[in-house]
Amino acid sequence: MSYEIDNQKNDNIDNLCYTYFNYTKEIPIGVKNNIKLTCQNLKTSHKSKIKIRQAIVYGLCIIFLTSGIVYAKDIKNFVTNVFFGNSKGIQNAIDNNYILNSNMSYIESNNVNLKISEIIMDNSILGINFSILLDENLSENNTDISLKSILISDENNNILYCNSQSIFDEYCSTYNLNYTFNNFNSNYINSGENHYSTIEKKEDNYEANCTYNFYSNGYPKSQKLYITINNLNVNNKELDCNWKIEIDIPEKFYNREVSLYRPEKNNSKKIIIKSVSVQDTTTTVQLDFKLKSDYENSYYKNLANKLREEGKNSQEITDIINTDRKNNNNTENISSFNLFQDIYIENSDNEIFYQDLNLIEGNTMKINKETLLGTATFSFGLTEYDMTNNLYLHFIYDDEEFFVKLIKDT
Amino acid sequence: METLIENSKNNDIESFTNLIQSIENDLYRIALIRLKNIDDINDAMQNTIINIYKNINKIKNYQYFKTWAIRILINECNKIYKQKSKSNNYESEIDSLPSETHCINDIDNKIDFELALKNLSYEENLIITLKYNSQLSCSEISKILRVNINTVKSRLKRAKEKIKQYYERKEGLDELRNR
Repeated sequence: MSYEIDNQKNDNIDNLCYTYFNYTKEIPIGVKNNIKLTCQNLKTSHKSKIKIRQAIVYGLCIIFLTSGIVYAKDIKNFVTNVFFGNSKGIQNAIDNNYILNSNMSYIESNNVNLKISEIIMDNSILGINFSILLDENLSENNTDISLKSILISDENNNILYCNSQSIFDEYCSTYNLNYTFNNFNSNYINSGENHYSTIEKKEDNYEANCTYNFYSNGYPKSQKLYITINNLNVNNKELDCNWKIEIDIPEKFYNREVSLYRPEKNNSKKIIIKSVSVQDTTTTVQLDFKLKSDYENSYYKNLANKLREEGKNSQEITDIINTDRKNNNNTENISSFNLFQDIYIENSDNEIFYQDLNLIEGNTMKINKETLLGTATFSFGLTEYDMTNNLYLHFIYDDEEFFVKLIKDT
Repeated sequence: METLIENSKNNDIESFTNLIQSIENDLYRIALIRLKNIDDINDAMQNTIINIYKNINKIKNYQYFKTWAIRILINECNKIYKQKSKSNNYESEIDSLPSETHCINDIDNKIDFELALKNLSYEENLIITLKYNSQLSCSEISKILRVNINTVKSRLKRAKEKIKQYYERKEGLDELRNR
């Protein structure tokens, strides 16, 4: 086959290129052998990597046992199942000792003993594991335990979480705070929560491990936490209890680092990235941005696609969207996960970290409908060790693909 | 390829070897754009393969395996190039690529095209190779180079324009010679 070129038509440039590359496919035998040999030698080096990983897990187990914590059936599961589900970010943080193993004793109230066994805390998450001993006749597989009337505050009277108006009002009255329940401010944090519990039968009683995951856009750097619990709910039966716990937060928590990364200038017609901060404890990336035009079409298009993937029919999709529009008309801000898609972060070592959707609490978005200023937080499973001087944040917005180069501020 | 990736994640070395061999041509051609001798290319390929093996469990979308692997290679090549180019003596030891043709006309045309490619910048050369050798879409190329898709398209257009101009100049010179 010979090459021919017609200088008038670009099509022939394509043909020229394809033909050239098609005709030069052979690579030197030395390179081929090098590739084969490298692959074959990988098996030996892989074995040593496994040993290191196992050491980390066993090391972690030893810490738990010597602290005297009697925990669930399989200690290894702790790191993956306790806090925030299977969050890799949390798992990495815990692997790097970013956790407080409390050595407090049980406190008794109304024949129920409670203590805090582990805590993990950074700007956006507060995870507390409670160990509860009960005499009740419980089923290991079918028991629901939750702590009602919780208030968490710190040494500066910041209220980090409260789910009961009565306990809230009492606290505000005691400390002369002019706050209204559910009306948040910089010292009264808007904090969500989810929890789950596991039960284990002991000789004379049952031990429940109740894990509470609190999440917010910004917890303060508290050095002490005060936790008041007035009520325990066991299978919908309420027990009046009164526990007040004071716990010292370790320095590694309140001296946590937030790395600032500067986004490289982008000339997109759709969005300006104003700033990016990366929390290197459990790796939440906060993105402050401004949309240059109305986002609603993109938002509802993505929402419709998502609902379609979930199997909703056209009528259901229309109904959901109409309800969403109606609800959003009454609010200043719109919260949505549906604006950005295919979100991942890549470091300079070519490692890709996808959005950690197990840490759903670390993934939020808020846009002011009038100013179009927004804040999004994404959670990824990378640690401070993965955070190179340059990071690349990738997402798709309104059918446009973005690579935002983030340069660490030194 | 999906089966090979899946098996590779389970430490099946044979599958991993086959997986790498399925893209070895792409990797070699790309390394050739940046690196000037076989030893450096071998080093870059080796580091890339180790990196791929180390991180293969992190891949979620298997259709992006090739683009991901190429990106790792480009970074490895850039690292070596940075070290070597400091010496100022970093010149090509590789004259031309082996090919399947033996016809003299085809060899001449092949050399012409390679001369045309020499007029391109590194980024333009890379895009031409990714597009026409690895047969990647502009979207995939943008993921590899971490630039917006419009940037890829404009660089591709510029590269093709330069190749066209090379041949126009060559044709003009040939006409002058033949008079």
